[in-house]
Amino acid sequence: MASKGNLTLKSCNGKEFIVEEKVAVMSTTIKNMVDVDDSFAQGVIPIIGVDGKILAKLIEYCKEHAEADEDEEVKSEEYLKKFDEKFVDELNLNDLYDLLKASNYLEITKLLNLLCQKVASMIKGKKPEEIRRIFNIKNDFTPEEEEEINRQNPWAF
Amino acid sequence: MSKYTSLKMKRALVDNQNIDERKRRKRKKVKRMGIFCYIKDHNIEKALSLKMNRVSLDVQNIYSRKRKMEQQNIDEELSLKMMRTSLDDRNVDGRNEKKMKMGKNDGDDVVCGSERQTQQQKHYFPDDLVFELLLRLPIKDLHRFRCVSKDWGSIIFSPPFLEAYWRRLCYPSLLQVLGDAKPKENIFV
Repeated sequence: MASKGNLTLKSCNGKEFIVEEKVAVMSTTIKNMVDVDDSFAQGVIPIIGVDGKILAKLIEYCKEHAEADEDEEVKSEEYLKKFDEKFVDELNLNDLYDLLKASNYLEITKLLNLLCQKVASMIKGKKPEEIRRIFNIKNDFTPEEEEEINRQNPWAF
Repeated sequence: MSKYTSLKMKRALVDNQNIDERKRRKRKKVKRMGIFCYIKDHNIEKALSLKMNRVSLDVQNIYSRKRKMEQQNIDEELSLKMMRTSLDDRNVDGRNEKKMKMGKNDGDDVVCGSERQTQQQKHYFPDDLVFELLLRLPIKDLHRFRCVSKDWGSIIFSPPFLEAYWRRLCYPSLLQVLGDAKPKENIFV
């Protein structure tokens, strides 16, 4: 195990954040890094592909949850629930998608679950064309193939 | 007398012109009414064939126009692409030169590069994230999203996804959703 202390996280555009270890290890990816190699605990941990703004949000979320895990009296479950709701509601679309990708990469399971639920509720009931537009997906079906699929289960449309 | 005759002459000229104009109009009308004249003459078949000819001509015209437009569009796109790539090349060259001049501490350029990257990859979602998202959708949506793309279709029909989806249906608590906890008994046996 790495020594207890502070870790330095560096975003892809060069901003550095000093966080407590208990906050940083909410991310399974960082936890594994620190567990495997002690040199990470002393040095700077580069977070590739996550910019400063998103990393700050991630740290804000992790801090709140890490503190809640440690002291349940001060920050109860209800408080956390409210915090989560507020946290998700305040995000704009781009930040939401960036955070989702970052939390997936850093394996922050609680946040990933929260954001996935949010995005799933957003795309629920949408048409395939809208999904393609939202996720920037190219339609690689020919019109005939698409029609075939549509014919197989017309009840879904 | 001379005045009177000149006036008469003028009137006669005007009359002539009027008559000519009327004739022309009539001719035009006749031309326009061509099809109907045929019908009046009970040559309905001829009239129809004339109409058909015209329609087919129109269609051909439209098609040829479309083809031309498409070609033009493709040409324009190609030229635009060429322009962009050449511009990009120039930009990259410019940046490299700048970097060479500025030395190692060229923070602005690094930021620009990363911003550009994130813009390009903006809404690209990796497959495992799509997996997590799809787990949280109702079955009806899954069937609809099969035709979003081949990747999505293959994720939805992959055994790991189906198993995870069933597990979620049977044990809908948070931990089990994330796959941390295993089902108490294997429902597939």
